[in-house]
Amino acid sequence: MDQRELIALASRGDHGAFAVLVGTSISHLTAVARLIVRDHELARDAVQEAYIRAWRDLPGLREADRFDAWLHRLTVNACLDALRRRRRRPIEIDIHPLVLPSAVDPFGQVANRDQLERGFVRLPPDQRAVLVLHYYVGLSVPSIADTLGIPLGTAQSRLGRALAALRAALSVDDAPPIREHRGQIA
Amino acid sequence: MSTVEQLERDLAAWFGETAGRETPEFAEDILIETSGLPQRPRWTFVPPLPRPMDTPRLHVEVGSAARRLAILVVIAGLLALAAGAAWVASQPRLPAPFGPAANGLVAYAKDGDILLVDPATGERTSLVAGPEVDAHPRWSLDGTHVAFVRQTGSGSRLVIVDAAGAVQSVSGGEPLLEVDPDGISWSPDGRTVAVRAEFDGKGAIHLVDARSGQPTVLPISPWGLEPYWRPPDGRELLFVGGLVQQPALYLYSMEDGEIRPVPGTVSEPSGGFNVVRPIGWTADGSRFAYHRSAPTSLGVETAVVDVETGDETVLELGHGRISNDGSRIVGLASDGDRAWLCVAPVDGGACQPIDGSPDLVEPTRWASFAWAPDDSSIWSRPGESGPAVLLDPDGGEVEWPSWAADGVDSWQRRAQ
Repeated sequence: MDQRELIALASRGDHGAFAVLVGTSISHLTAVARLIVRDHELARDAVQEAYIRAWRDLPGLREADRFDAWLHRLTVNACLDALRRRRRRPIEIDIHPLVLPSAVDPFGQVANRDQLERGFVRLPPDQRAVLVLHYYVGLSVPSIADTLGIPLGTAQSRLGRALAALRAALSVDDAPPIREHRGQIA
Repeated sequence: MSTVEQLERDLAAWFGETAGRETPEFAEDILIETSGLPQRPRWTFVPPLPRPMDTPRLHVEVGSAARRLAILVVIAGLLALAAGAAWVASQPRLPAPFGPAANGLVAYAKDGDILLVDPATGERTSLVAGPEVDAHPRWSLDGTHVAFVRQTGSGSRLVIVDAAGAVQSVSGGEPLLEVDPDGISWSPDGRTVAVRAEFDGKGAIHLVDARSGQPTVLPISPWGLEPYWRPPDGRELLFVGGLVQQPALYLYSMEDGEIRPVPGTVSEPSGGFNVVRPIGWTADGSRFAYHRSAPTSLGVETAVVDVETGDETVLELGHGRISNDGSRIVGLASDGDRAWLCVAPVDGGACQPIDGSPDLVEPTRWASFAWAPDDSSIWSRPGESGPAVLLDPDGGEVEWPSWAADGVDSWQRRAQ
């Protein structure tokens, strides 16, 4: 039975078909969620939320061909929601510039993984999401726009800003900046 | 290979290394949970069909209908009179938008719902519940409405409900992106909510009409942060703007749209970036407080500025909150090794540490805090989540009240 048939059955309430769809996609979506939220528990919550919404709203999916993009969208949105809920207050206010002046190019040599981790977690969640969709899932920019339901130009600029912000975050990694937080001593 | 290409390559490799592809153990949990959930009926996803033109008419005698209509009008009139009289009799007094008020209900978000708890009785009620993910409730200054953020597929909406949870409006237009929970601010008259969110990829202040939900984006990019309505009438909005390397405070006139920098708040240009953030107004609108980068052990200091004269008083604290009566500020202080909460008079003087607060602040170096409406206590949430505590600005014991076990987001103001 191919995916289209499974989707058709699941959308009519066949939970067994839905279970097959979950089984074939959950590893990948969990990996995507982990990369975005960088936290196993949050990723688990996000993926669960995404599948619950998928099951509930599957009858409204008109094009079976869009199932994978739709699942990615649900997962990314659940990740952003999870991060926002965790953030609550106190909130980290991102007043730092997208491109900080830097005297050194941090990528004259290969960035180490710790630097990438620190730089990545400083990014706003929506920028993390486009980086994961582009460089891990392998989606093109138009596909990212399609998946997230945002204009093409927004996807393009968000990806560009994400890369620039990651570079900027890495460039200041060695010299702690004055960072502004609500109620946090930086 | 360019540096960007190198970064892209490193990023892809790092993602591949850290993603993990094992089948998660919670797959079974998802299937168990969804097996008990109904699906939304298909018809709920399509727009309603137009009503057919040939709807059968009810066949009633004209005379009968006229009599019924007359009776209904009389009944409706009587009901309206009775309701009007009851409304007038029961109409609660409202607090002034600024200054001390009586403590009302505490609003907080939990598991995507908005709840209320009465600190006097501990009674909890649900204000808004359902499948939507709602967060960051904020009481209006007169305590009659609550604004909160509802997550949607592609962003957020600002929802306004009354104190019984009935929806008054939902923000229209494009969904709000990256709403800053600290940047949600009711106007004094309750007609507008200022929201700091992204617009066109940059920080911006959106003014949302509380009645219609119609949003307007103020032309004050790029860095609109934490808007504060100027007392007593909210004719001006204080916000952080300017260049990232050289931020300043600005006032936006609600009457003519004019934007003017607040003298003395423009920082020196920096190779990195400077910190400038508003703390709040005194209740009469004559002075405001903000904090800014400074070579102190905390890295910032607080200035209380007289708008007319420009005179300022400097306090050694940061990240503060001004009391409702405008006489004190609670904020963070540090000696470089330890941090604590302290209270200082806005007119200047030492910042008196709050007993027990170092134990709250130190473990995480996080704390959010605000004054209770009556200024008798300061609620503080030491970590990013979890219970809130009540601190005594006059030096009493720290309290861990059970009603604050799920945190505090906003405290209703009531007439005294």
